[in-house]
Amino acid sequence: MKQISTAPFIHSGRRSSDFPLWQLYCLIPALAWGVYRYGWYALVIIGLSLLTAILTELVFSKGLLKRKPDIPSVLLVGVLIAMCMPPQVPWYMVIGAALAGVLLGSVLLGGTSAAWINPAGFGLLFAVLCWPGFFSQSHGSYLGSWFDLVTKHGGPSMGPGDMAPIFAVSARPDLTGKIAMGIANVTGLNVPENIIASFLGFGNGPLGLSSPVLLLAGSVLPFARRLGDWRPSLSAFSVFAVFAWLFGGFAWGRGIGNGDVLFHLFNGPFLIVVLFMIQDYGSLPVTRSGRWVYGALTGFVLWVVSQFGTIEMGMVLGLVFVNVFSPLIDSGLRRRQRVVAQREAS
Amino acid sequence: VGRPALVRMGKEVTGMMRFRRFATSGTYFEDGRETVLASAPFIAWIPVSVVVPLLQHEGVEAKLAVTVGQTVKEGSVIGSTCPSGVAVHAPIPGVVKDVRQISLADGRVCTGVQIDLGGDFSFFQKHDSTDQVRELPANKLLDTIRAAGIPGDIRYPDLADALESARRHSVPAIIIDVVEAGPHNMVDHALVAYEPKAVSRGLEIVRRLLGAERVAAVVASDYEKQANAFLSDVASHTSGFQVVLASPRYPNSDAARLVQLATRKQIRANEDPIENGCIILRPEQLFQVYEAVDLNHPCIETWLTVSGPVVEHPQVVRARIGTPIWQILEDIGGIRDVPKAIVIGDPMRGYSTLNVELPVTKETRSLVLLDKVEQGPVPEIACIHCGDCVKICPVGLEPERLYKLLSQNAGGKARTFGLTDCTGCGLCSWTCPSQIPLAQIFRRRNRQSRAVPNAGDVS
Repeated sequence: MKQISTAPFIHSGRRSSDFPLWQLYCLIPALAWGVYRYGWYALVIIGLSLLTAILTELVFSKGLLKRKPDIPSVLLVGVLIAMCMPPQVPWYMVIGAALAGVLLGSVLLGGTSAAWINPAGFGLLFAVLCWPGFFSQSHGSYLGSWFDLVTKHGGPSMGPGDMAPIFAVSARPDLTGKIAMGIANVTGLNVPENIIASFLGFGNGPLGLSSPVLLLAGSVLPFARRLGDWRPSLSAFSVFAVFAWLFGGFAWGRGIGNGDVLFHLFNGPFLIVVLFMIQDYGSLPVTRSGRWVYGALTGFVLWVVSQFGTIEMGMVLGLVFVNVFSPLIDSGLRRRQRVVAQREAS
Repeated sequence: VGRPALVRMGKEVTGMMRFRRFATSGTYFEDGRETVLASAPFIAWIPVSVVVPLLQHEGVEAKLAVTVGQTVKEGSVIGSTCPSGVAVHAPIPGVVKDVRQISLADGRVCTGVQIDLGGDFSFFQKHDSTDQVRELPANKLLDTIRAAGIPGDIRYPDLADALESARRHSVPAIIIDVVEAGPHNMVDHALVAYEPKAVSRGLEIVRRLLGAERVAAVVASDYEKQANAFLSDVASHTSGFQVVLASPRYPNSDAARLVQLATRKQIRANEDPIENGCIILRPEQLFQVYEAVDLNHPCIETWLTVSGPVVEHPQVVRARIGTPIWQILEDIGGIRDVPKAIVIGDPMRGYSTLNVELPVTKETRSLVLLDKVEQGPVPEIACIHCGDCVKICPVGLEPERLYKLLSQNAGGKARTFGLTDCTGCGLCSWTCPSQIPLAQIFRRRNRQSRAVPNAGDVS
């Protein structure tokens, strides 16, 4: 069949489905590690989350609203929800979160592309609001911050993390010991072995977030393939790091400029938010400057959550909070650009 | 309207001032230019029959000046000049066989004159030397250029009109555009590499005509070496000659972008560079000026790039106007496969056809034979707000915003967001991962608003 069209006749070859699919591929190692660590029930959680997300999209988006279903995006939503859940979460909470994430956070807002809120974040927020009893306890997978993990090793307790984790650090001491010694030899820094163990994936954490190193490694590929926008991630990372460095030491009585930056940065919940969930195009501002501002605001909010947050899944909820400002940031900056353009034209 | 960042990378003095300036928006296309430009331009065979359209540019068609059965010489006028029209000459000697309405690649219909070959050639292989120099007074020069029928641009269909306007405005600067106008459009590069003296002489004539104080050549940085002979020749007879090496990004050849690269002055996309103190000329136009003035040779030939995945030997071709596409393809060694589309003009802004009987015109700068059409006429899915179109837009517009406004029939508001500044480069459509035909929609709306202002507004 001959097709009538006008220029351009060539295309860059990028497809909308590339973004969620590549994020999915890159999350597989961290997810697989979670299954290895937490056993067969982790697989049940992942399966339930994915199934609920896909069925919700098919029934509501395709069946009722007659829209083309966006399966790659809802797959990503399902995976992210499963990854952020505590490993012993009851099955109905997973279904509830995935259903709410796709239906309320995506389908009813016009689809994954039009939704101004992060669907996975919204699903998790829904779960926290519906089952506060479960999510206000610590399950050894507190989605707060590294700070809380550190508090368990001698620091003052700032949140609900004072309950004993059900999964103990189980790294091979010879391996972590060697790494700690290597770091000390090269940089002169004394990094505690339990910190190294947690960074490698032997610490506590939600189902898919127990290995920061795998999350970090997985995030490289989408950026290298220019599938995501590095601006909001870099901006959030930098602002968070600056605040953590400047004020992170206060809790330990060390004063300004003495925060343990690396310890705050390299933890699963922070990394999943800053490297993956922040990349959701629907909730990102469109302009470049808007993305820098959005990233900076996210970094600041995440730092506040990490310092003063007392609720489960603080990091993810911090991102959902910033989502609210995304349209405002965009329209504010666009208005400024328009005013400048009109001034130049006149 | 945004402002693409320019970075000055340093300068070097070797008889001319050299600058490096890079515009950050736009993109680089891999179009096999090294292969195409490796060989000298191919001179196509003289066709036995041509159909010459009397409308080969923007504006109106020339006035028919021949009748059926009339004998014409090579270069004799078959369409006389008129306001907003350009003179058309017989590309081959012979007899006017037919005068009929023909369709052009862009859908316009105009008068076409069919000439069957016969008789003697007046110009063919007779003035092939750049030693012949004719010094004419300024007004005579302008008349000679007008009589030659050299096409200008969208604002001035006839180059003579542009030069006349530039003289009226006492334009102090000439900008030579040696940046690829689009992917697969390598005519200007080939002329600069293979006809440097002729192009340089054309520039000398225009400079004398305009009395311009400054000349700047904007050259694609990956083409610096090949353009060196031309640049040195110009530098030898032009004081204060500046060379700006620009990144080979599409669409650096757009007027506003060229003015910014050459002079660092910001003008809007729909503004006339002449009213802003500079005239932009392409090497092909300079070559045609040289032919018209020194050789008394009207514009009866065109230079075009023939390339694309299915072309056996892609190269730059010099062909008589009116030559059918099939003959040019045959002359350069044929095609490997049946193309899915033949694009007349570059794939970003041209028109597609499958009619190989269409004649090449003065404005045909490339024929691109594609093995697939990658851009569909309808969106694949809804906009995902990735912002790629905003990042790539060379004029700093927000295509996704304009698209949303136009979908809501808010054309007036879209215009306040710069819709009329859109140059139609097509990069937003090219990059859109949802395959939304953004550029197509903007071009259509801009055409509509030119025809009926405020059309489609909901107020």
